Parts: sequence; C-alpha cells; structure tokens
Amino acid sequence: MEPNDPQLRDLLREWQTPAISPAVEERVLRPHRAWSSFLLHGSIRVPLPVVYGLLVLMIFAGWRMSARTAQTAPCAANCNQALTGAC
Amino acid sequence: MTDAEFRDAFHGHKDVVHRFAYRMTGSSSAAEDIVQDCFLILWRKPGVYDPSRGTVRAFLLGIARNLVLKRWRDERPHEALEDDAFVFQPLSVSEDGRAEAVEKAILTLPPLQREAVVLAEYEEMSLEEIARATAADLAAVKSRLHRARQNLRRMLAHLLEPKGVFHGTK
Repeated sequence: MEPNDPQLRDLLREWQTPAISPAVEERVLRPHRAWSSFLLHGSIRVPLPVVYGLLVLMIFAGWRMSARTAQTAPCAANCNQALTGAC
Repeated sequence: MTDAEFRDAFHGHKDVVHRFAYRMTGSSSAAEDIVQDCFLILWRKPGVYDPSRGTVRAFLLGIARNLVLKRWRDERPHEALEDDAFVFQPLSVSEDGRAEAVEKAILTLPPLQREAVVLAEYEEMSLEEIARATAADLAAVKSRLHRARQNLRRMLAHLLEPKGVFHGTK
C-alpha cells in the first residue's frame, strides 16, 4: 500500500480475522506423535475391498481346516490301526 | 527438518498463513484446510524450502497462495485471476458495519489484486517480498497494488472522505 493513503489503510485495518481453531494444531501435529503413542491410541483406515478380501481368506482358511479335521477324524478314532501304523 | 523444528515453524507461522488464507477465501474452513495442507507439504518435502531464497514465512505464504489459487481455478474455471478491465462500482450503503464493508470489498477484488493488497497491507510485506512470494516481477506487483487500491477506494467511497480534503488549521 502506498504510504500516502493512510485513510484507506486505517479503514482496511478495521477488518480483523477470526482466530485459528485449536483443532488445526491437533490435525497437523497429530501424525508426528511417537510410535508408542500410536500403538496405544492410534487408528487406521482400511478400504472395504481389503476387508472383503480378508473375509474371503478367513472363510477359505476355516473351510480348509474343517475339511482337514474331517479327513483325519476317522483315522484318529481307530486307535488300534493308528498304533499299528496302518493309518 | 526435525520434529522440533517443524513444531516451531507451525507455532511461529500458523497464524500468518491462516490470516492470509482467510482474507483470500473469506471462509474459516477453507483457511484451516489451507493451513493444514501448507504445513503437511513442509513436513513431507522439507527440501523444497531454500533459506537462501527467503524466510520460512514467505515460503509458507507462497505455498498458501498456490493452494488458494488452485481452489479458485477449481471452483471458477472460467473466471480470470486478473481482471484489469473491470471497473468496480461503489458498494451499496447498507446496515453492514465498516469491517463488513471492507471484507466485502476485498473479497470482490480479482485474486491477484487481492493477494497483493492483503500481503502489503495486512502482512506488511515489502514489494520485493510480495514479488518473491507470488512469483511475479516487481512491476506487476506495483501495478496490481495500484489497481487494488483504486478499486477499494471506489468501492468504499461512502466510508472514505474525498481525496484532497484538508483537515486542520493552516
């Protein structure tokens, strides 16, 4: 602003801005906390497709385990055969 | 940049960046988003700040300025950043206070005139500093400031005394 217009300068100075919200400090400085703090209080965002993929994997793993148990169960029940090495 | 240096930079300059962003956008939420983005850029790419080219304050204001102009282009893709030809009419005299009238007048200016007047008047930056922060040459900054002042005088005429009126005794 040119120094020869103090009247305009004084008028412009009448417009004050609001103070910055403390939430901004939290948003900016939060990612820089220590890992120990993150392990206790942190949270992560997981995309839904990843969640669906993990669910499918868990269901598949569960199914495989139950199928394996079903296969070994008759053999284990027949203790005599197991002891003789027929199993 | 260490964590402590980053925190110092944030505490030392957050208010300046916020004031500038608020006066450029007229919105608290937009200004706070810009402050956040500005410091995240500094944190993620500290190498982009070169102390030999100016102060951290000028650097952060330069980033904030780019973010403000990006928002402007996204929101108003067909409006020019600098409208030399447009002649601003005086604001209608309303119930608004003087501060509200000033806010309205500044937010009416084209962005490049607005940033020049905000940096010069409210942040008290020199012409050279403004030229560096806005990546413009000195003549362009002088011209924008001059036009901004003329436009503000026209818009706020009802709150200003006519130029040349002499007060006091001879």
